[in-house]
Amino acid sequence: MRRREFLGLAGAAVASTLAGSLTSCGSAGSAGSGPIKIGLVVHKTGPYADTGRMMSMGAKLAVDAINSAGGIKSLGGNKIQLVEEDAGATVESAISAMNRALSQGIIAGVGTGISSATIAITELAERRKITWTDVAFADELTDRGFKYTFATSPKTSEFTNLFSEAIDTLAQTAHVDVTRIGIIAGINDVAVQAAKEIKSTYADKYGWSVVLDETVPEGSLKDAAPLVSKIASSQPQLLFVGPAISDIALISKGQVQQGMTPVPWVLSGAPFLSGAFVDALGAKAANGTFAVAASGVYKGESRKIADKIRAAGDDYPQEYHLSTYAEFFLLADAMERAKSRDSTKIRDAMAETDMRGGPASVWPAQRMRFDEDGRAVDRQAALVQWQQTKTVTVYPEQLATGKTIWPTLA
Amino acid sequence: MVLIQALVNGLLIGAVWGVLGLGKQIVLGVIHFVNFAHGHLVLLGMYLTLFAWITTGADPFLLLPVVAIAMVILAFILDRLLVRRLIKLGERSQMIATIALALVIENAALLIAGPQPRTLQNSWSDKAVQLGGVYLNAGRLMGLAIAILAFVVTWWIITKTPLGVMIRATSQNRAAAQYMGIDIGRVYAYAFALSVALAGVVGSLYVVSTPVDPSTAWTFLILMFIVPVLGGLGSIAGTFLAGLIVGVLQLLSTTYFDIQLQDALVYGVFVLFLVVRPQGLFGRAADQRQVSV
Repeated sequence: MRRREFLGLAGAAVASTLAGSLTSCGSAGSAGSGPIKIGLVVHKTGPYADTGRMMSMGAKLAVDAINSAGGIKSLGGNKIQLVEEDAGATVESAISAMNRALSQGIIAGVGTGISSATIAITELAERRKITWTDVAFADELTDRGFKYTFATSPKTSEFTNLFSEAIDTLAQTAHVDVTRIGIIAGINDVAVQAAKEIKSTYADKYGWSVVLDETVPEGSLKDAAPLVSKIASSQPQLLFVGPAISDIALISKGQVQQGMTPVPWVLSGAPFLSGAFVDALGAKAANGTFAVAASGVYKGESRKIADKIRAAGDDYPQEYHLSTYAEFFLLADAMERAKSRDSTKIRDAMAETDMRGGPASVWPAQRMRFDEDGRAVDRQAALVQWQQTKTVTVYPEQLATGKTIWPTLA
Repeated sequence: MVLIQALVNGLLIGAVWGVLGLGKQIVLGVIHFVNFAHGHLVLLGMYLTLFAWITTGADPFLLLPVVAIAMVILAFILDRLLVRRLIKLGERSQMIATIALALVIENAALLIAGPQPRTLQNSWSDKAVQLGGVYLNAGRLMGLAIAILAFVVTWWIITKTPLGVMIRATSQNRAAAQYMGIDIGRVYAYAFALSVALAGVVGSLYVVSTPVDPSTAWTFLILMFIVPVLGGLGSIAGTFLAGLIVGVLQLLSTTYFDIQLQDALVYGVFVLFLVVRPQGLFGRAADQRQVSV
């Protein structure tokens, strides 16, 4: 390629990027009548695509339910129109997706379910005064003083506290002595923070020696053999945090191939509670795995919502479906009370949310309110375990739907 | 022992990269077609093997010829619709069109198979052979044997068959080959079909021990260019050797350095080659480029 041709192509690329940015600056999306556009920016491609699939299913079911119940009555019964954009595999692609959603006139939104991308797109939402809610965990999400960001989940620091405490308590109850742990984390805000806190706080607190500490870019592992050799030589009893599902599958298979009993996982998020996890690992290897979740099927309407998800084709209703479903109801409720499409009024109504039961039954407290930072007041995490091909909440005791089955420790 | 295990595992995965490079070499070094969708054709091979296995329950290695034949048929369709037009249009058009093709394949996979990683749960991937304390994954070991067979067959086609003579002649001097009565269009079609069949073989070998999702194809993007260039453009033997070297470098990286640096050593050696020996291991200077063995 000649220099002039290269410069021509580069110029065209810059021009198209600028054009996209200018387009996205064009509309505030708060005025007018007609359908009420709510954005859903989720990862439909890349290593987190399964979370996007689940969130999309939850969103569509919620929008159908809201619209078939008469839409937003205080806004003349106008229906919600879902504006769905693919956040792709990177933070940059998530920002592009957010710009595309904004350019279509959304007045509120949900997504991405993955902290690093949500942190980035909520910067745009804040600037454009668009009320945004998500299930992502990162502490930073609500520690920035933003007014338009609402997080329905506990913070990463709270999740890390919960699963560390849970493993210690459950091990003591079962008279299992956990002394050596390994950390294999992905490269994302939640995983990095969780790994850091385990090393700096919880390992000392619970008497665990961290014998393996590795970071794996999600979905990048081509051969698990070197990692398996490190696991074999360091001999952790449990592996904490976790990279992508495909990486975990490779690591588990790699251990079997080298004649080892796979070391059980304690995983830092709900992506590992999907059917894809069992498909990738196989039921035998997945059995006994622990993972944390911010929402689940507890009682009341959450069971009906779970039935809808099953009827829509997913046998494993979990946090990503359930929280997204309920978050659309939170936004609909805020718009109903705001009686306006004005972004400031919707935000103020969202801040005053107090939803009990109904869709809020997907959260452990059966209630959703937000503190002044925009984080759920009654937030609580739960530790869930794969038992055969079912997920069972095992901790805390008041949420437990079954007893822990201790996997064979390495 | 750790070093020996890393070297052995490197050779096992490297054989797969060798076949990946061979397929790319045929189009890049022989018909000079810039195909950014080659990794996505491997992805197609992975899904074809997976779904054939789900449907029939047959041994995934027995399904390999079926996948290869399906890929050859696809190659002839792509040749008619796309490749022969793009060859006339030049490298820039080839680059843009094949990136578009890659995106079409990826999104079709997303639509049909869904975004979740899928694993071919087979006995090969769970079995290992132990030799003096070194574990050899049965699936990868079988993969090595098939990769060597693929290399030998490719080498035989290129060096011992009339088609190979035509491919080499076209590679050396397209105009002269045409004057000698060689149907250039047909040579390109067969060469592209061979390349796509090899992509299918890589897909079948890789999916036996690795989960597949629609984004898996990007794993091959850099490797599929590094291997043939490192081996020497136009060199069949050099490409396969380069695949083995890349595999060993990756495994040494992940064994002795951080896993995040698994490709760093490969890139480092590649850059070194570009500076010290830009024609690659067995390649010739640009003005003498031709298919060699």
